[in-house]
Amino acid sequence: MAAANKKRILYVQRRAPYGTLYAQEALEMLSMGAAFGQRVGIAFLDDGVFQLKAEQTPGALGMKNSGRMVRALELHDLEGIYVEQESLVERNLEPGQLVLAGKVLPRVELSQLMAEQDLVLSF
Amino acid sequence: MKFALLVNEGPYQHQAADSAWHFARSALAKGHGISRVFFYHDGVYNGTRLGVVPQDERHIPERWALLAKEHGVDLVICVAAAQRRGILDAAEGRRHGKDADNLAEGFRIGGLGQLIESGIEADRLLVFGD
Repeated sequence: MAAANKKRILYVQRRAPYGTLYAQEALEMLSMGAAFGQRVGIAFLDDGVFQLKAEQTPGALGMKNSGRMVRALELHDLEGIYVEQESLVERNLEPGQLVLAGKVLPRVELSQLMAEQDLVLSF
Repeated sequence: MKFALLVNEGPYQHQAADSAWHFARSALAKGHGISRVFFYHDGVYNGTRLGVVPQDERHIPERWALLAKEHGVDLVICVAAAQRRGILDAAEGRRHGKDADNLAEGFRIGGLGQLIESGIEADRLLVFGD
Protein backbone atom coordinates (compact mmCIF):
# COMPACT_ATOMS: atom_id res chain seq x y z
CA MET A 1 0.00 0.00 0.00
CA ALA A 2 1.37 3.42 -0.90
CA ALA A 3 2.41 5.49 2.11
CA ALA A 4 -0.13 8.18 1.29
CA ASN A 5 -2.98 5.66 1.51
CA LYS A 6 -1.92 4.25 4.83
CA LYS A 7 -4.12 5.12 7.77
CA ARG A 8 -2.77 6.35 11.08
CA ILE A 9 -4.02 4.12 13.87
CA LEU A 10 -3.30 4.69 17.56
CA TYR A 11 -3.90 2.03 20.19
CA VAL A 12 -4.45 3.62 23.59
CA GLN A 13 -3.65 1.47 26.60
CA ARG A 14 -5.33 2.90 29.69
CA ARG A 15 -5.66 -0.06 32.06
CA ALA A 16 -3.43 -1.77 34.58
CA PRO A 17 -2.02 -5.04 33.22
CA TYR A 18 -3.66 -7.46 35.65
CA GLY A 19 -7.02 -7.73 37.40
CA THR A 20 -8.78 -7.59 34.05
CA LEU A 21 -7.96 -8.95 30.60
CA TYR A 22 -8.31 -5.64 28.75
CA ALA A 23 -4.59 -4.93 28.55
CA GLN A 24 -3.59 -8.42 27.43
CA GLU A 25 -6.28 -8.69 24.77
CA ALA A 26 -5.47 -5.24 23.43
CA LEU A 27 -1.78 -6.16 23.19
CA GLU A 28 -2.78 -9.43 21.50
CA MET A 29 -4.77 -7.44 18.98
CA LEU A 30 -1.61 -5.53 18.13
CA SER A 31 0.64 -8.58 18.08
CA MET A 32 -1.71 -10.44 15.73
CA GLY A 33 -0.95 -7.77 13.23
CA ALA A 34 -4.55 -6.94 12.44
CA ALA A 35 -3.48 -3.45 11.45
CA PHE A 36 -0.33 -4.32 9.53
CA GLY A 37 0.15 -2.29 6.43
CA GLN A 38 -1.08 0.81 8.25
CA ARG A 39 0.84 3.37 10.31
CA VAL A 40 0.34 2.01 13.81
CA GLY A 41 1.32 3.60 17.11
CA ILE A 42 0.63 2.71 20.72
CA ALA A 43 0.21 5.07 23.64
CA PHE A 44 0.29 4.21 27.33
CA LEU A 45 -1.53 6.48 29.73
CA ASP A 46 -3.44 6.45 33.02
CA ASP A 47 -2.94 3.05 34.73
CA GLY A 48 -1.83 1.73 31.33
CA VAL A 49 1.70 2.91 32.13
CA PHE A 50 1.92 0.03 34.64
CA GLN A 51 1.94 -2.34 31.62
CA LEU A 52 5.45 -1.05 30.95
CA LYS A 53 6.86 -1.58 34.42
CA ALA A 54 10.04 -3.64 34.49
CA GLU A 55 10.50 -6.65 36.77
CA GLN A 56 6.91 -7.88 36.76
CA THR A 57 6.31 -11.40 38.09
CA PRO A 58 2.69 -12.23 37.24
CA GLY A 59 3.35 -15.99 37.09
CA ALA A 60 1.47 -16.64 40.34
CA LEU A 61 -1.61 -15.06 38.77
CA GLY A 62 -1.35 -17.31 35.74
CA MET A 63 -1.24 -14.24 33.53
CA LYS A 64 1.13 -13.18 30.77
CA ASN A 65 3.84 -10.64 31.53
CA SER A 66 2.64 -7.41 29.92
CA GLY A 67 6.17 -5.99 29.85
CA ARG A 68 7.31 -8.91 27.73
CA MET A 69 4.32 -8.58 25.43
CA VAL A 70 5.15 -4.92 24.86
CA ARG A 71 8.82 -5.74 24.25
CA ALA A 72 7.72 -8.23 21.58
CA LEU A 73 5.83 -5.43 19.85
CA GLU A 74 9.12 -3.66 19.30
CA LEU A 75 9.87 -6.30 16.67
CA HIS A 76 6.99 -4.97 14.61
CA ASP A 77 7.27 -1.90 12.49
CA LEU A 78 5.46 0.48 14.83
CA GLU A 79 5.29 4.17 14.10
CA GLY A 80 5.87 5.02 17.74
CA ILE A 81 5.52 3.87 21.34
CA TYR A 82 4.33 6.81 23.44
CA VAL A 83 4.11 7.21 27.22
CA GLU A 84 2.22 10.01 28.90
CA GLN A 85 4.46 12.00 31.20
CA GLU A 86 1.77 13.04 33.71
CA SER A 87 0.60 9.43 34.10
CA LEU A 88 4.15 8.40 35.06
CA VAL A 89 4.52 11.28 37.55
CA GLU A 90 1.10 10.63 39.13
CA ARG A 91 2.15 7.02 39.76
CA ASN A 92 5.66 7.80 40.99
CA LEU A 93 7.23 6.05 37.99
CA GLU A 94 10.38 7.11 36.17
CA PRO A 95 11.14 6.29 32.52
CA GLY A 96 14.14 4.27 33.77
CA GLN A 97 11.78 1.80 35.50
CA LEU A 98 10.11 0.81 32.24
CA VAL A 99 10.88 -2.19 30.01
CA LEU A 100 11.60 0.07 27.05
CA ALA A 101 12.40 3.64 26.20
CA GLY A 102 9.15 4.90 24.72
CA LYS A 103 8.70 8.50 23.69
CA VAL A 104 7.55 10.33 26.81
CA LEU A 105 5.05 13.02 25.85
CA PRO A 106 3.21 15.56 28.00
CA ARG A 107 -0.59 15.23 28.03
CA VAL A 108 -1.13 18.21 25.76
CA GLU A 109 1.11 16.72 23.05
CA LEU A 110 -0.50 13.31 23.35
CA SER A 111 -3.94 14.81 22.79
CA GLN A 112 -2.53 16.53 19.71
CA LEU A 113 -1.18 13.17 18.50
CA MET A 114 -4.65 11.62 18.99
CA ALA A 115 -6.24 14.41 17.00
CA GLU A 116 -3.96 13.60 14.05
CA GLN A 117 -5.03 9.94 13.86
CA ASP A 118 -7.48 8.38 11.42
CA LEU A 119 -8.46 5.80 14.02
CA VAL A 120 -8.07 5.71 17.82
CA LEU A 121 -8.70 2.39 19.54
CA SER A 122 -8.95 2.88 23.30
CA PHE A 123 -8.71 -0.04 25.74
CA MET B 1 -22.63 9.02 7.70
CA LYS B 2 -21.35 5.45 7.85
CA PHE B 3 -20.54 4.16 11.34
CA ALA B 4 -18.79 1.06 12.63
CA LEU B 5 -19.09 0.10 16.30
CA LEU B 6 -16.79 -1.75 18.66
CA VAL B 7 -18.49 -3.28 21.72
CA ASN B 8 -16.12 -4.30 24.51
CA GLU B 9 -18.52 -5.31 27.27
CA GLY B 10 -20.95 -8.17 27.73
CA PRO B 11 -24.74 -7.85 27.98
CA TYR B 12 -26.63 -6.83 31.15
CA GLN B 13 -23.70 -6.27 33.52
CA HIS B 14 -22.59 -3.11 31.72
CA GLN B 15 -24.41 -0.31 29.97
CA ALA B 16 -22.01 -0.38 27.00
CA ALA B 17 -23.85 -3.07 25.00
CA ASP B 18 -27.18 -1.26 25.50
CA SER B 19 -25.68 2.10 24.57
CA ALA B 20 -24.19 0.66 21.39
CA TRP B 21 -27.52 -0.88 20.39
CA HIS B 22 -29.46 2.33 21.12
CA PHE B 23 -26.92 4.32 19.14
CA ALA B 24 -27.15 1.92 16.20
CA ARG B 25 -30.94 1.99 16.17
CA SER B 26 -31.13 5.78 16.43
CA ALA B 27 -28.49 6.30 13.76
CA LEU B 28 -30.32 3.96 11.37
CA ALA B 29 -33.63 5.71 12.08
CA LYS B 30 -32.03 9.00 11.08
CA GLY B 31 -30.81 7.57 7.80
CA HIS B 32 -27.19 6.85 8.70
CA GLY B 33 -25.52 3.52 8.00
CA ILE B 34 -24.08 0.99 10.45
CA SER B 35 -21.71 -1.16 8.43
CA ARG B 36 -20.53 -3.47 11.16
CA VAL B 37 -20.62 -4.09 14.90
CA PHE B 38 -17.49 -5.82 16.15
CA PHE B 39 -17.53 -7.54 19.54
CA TYR B 40 -14.30 -7.86 21.53
CA HIS B 41 -13.32 -8.67 25.14
CA ASP B 42 -16.46 -9.70 27.10
CA GLY B 43 -18.47 -8.14 24.29
CA VAL B 44 -18.46 -11.58 22.62
CA TYR B 45 -21.08 -12.71 25.18
CA ASN B 46 -23.59 -10.56 23.28
CA GLY B 47 -23.56 -13.36 20.72
CA THR B 48 -24.66 -16.32 22.82
CA ARG B 49 -27.92 -17.95 21.80
CA LEU B 50 -28.28 -19.80 25.12
CA GLY B 51 -29.41 -16.86 27.22
CA VAL B 52 -32.77 -17.45 28.90
CA VAL B 53 -33.99 -13.98 29.69
CA PRO B 54 -37.00 -13.19 31.94
CA GLN B 55 -39.96 -12.18 29.78
CA ASP B 56 -40.17 -8.70 31.24
CA GLU B 57 -36.53 -7.95 30.38
CA ARG B 58 -34.90 -6.93 27.13
CA HIS B 59 -33.27 -9.81 25.24
CA ILE B 60 -29.96 -8.31 24.18
CA PRO B 61 -28.69 -11.00 21.76
CA GLU B 62 -32.10 -11.18 20.03
CA ARG B 63 -32.22 -7.41 19.83
CA TRP B 64 -28.86 -7.41 18.00
CA ALA B 65 -30.03 -10.19 15.70
CA LEU B 66 -33.13 -8.20 14.75
CA LEU B 67 -30.93 -5.23 13.85
CA ALA B 68 -28.89 -7.51 11.57
CA LYS B 69 -32.01 -8.97 9.96
CA GLU B 70 -33.84 -5.70 9.37
CA HIS B 71 -30.91 -3.48 8.44
CA GLY B 72 -28.20 -5.86 7.23
CA VAL B 73 -25.81 -4.88 10.01
CA ASP B 74 -22.80 -7.22 10.05
CA LEU B 75 -22.39 -8.58 13.60
CA VAL B 76 -18.87 -9.96 14.01
CA ILE B 77 -17.60 -11.76 17.10
CA CYS B 78 -13.80 -11.83 17.48
CA VAL B 79 -12.62 -15.42 17.17
CA ALA B 80 -9.75 -15.11 19.67
CA ALA B 81 -11.84 -13.50 22.41
CA ALA B 82 -14.74 -15.89 21.70
CA GLN B 83 -12.72 -19.10 21.88
CA ARG B 84 -11.29 -18.09 25.24
CA ARG B 85 -14.80 -17.49 26.60
CA GLY B 86 -16.59 -20.45 25.03
CA ILE B 87 -18.56 -18.74 22.28
CA LEU B 88 -18.42 -21.06 19.25
CA ASP B 89 -20.28 -21.45 16.00
CA ALA B 90 -20.90 -24.95 14.62
CA ALA B 91 -17.69 -25.04 12.58
CA GLU B 92 -15.53 -23.80 15.46
CA GLY B 93 -17.19 -26.26 17.82
CA ARG B 94 -16.37 -29.17 15.51
CA ARG B 95 -12.85 -27.94 14.85
CA HIS B 96 -12.06 -27.86 18.56
CA GLY B 97 -13.75 -31.16 19.36
CA LYS B 98 -16.56 -29.63 21.41
CA ASP B 99 -19.97 -31.25 21.72
CA ALA B 100 -21.91 -28.03 21.24
CA ASP B 101 -22.02 -24.60 19.73
CA ASN B 102 -23.80 -21.49 20.94
CA LEU B 103 -23.51 -18.61 18.49
CA ALA B 104 -26.76 -16.72 18.12
CA GLU B 105 -28.53 -16.16 14.81
CA GLY B 106 -27.41 -13.05 13.00
CA PHE B 107 -23.85 -13.17 14.38
CA ARG B 108 -20.73 -14.57 12.76
CA ILE B 109 -17.23 -15.35 13.97
CA GLY B 110 -14.51 -13.22 12.43
CA GLY B 111 -11.02 -11.86 12.89
CA LEU B 112 -9.52 -8.64 14.10
CA GLY B 113 -8.71 -7.68 10.53
CA GLN B 114 -12.43 -7.06 10.11
CA LEU B 115 -12.37 -4.54 12.94
CA ILE B 116 -9.50 -2.61 11.39
CA GLU B 117 -11.11 -2.87 7.96
CA SER B 118 -14.40 -1.41 9.19
CA GLY B 119 -12.54 1.28 11.14
CA ILE B 120 -10.80 2.34 7.96
CA GLU B 121 -13.83 2.14 5.70
CA ALA B 122 -16.36 3.79 7.99
CA ASP B 123 -16.53 7.54 8.53
CA ARG B 124 -16.37 6.92 12.29
CA LEU B 125 -15.54 3.95 14.49
CA LEU B 126 -17.16 4.31 17.90
CA VAL B 127 -15.90 2.31 20.88
CA PHE B 128 -18.42 1.28 23.53
CA GLY B 129 -16.71 0.08 26.68
CA ASP B 130 -16.60 0.39 30.43
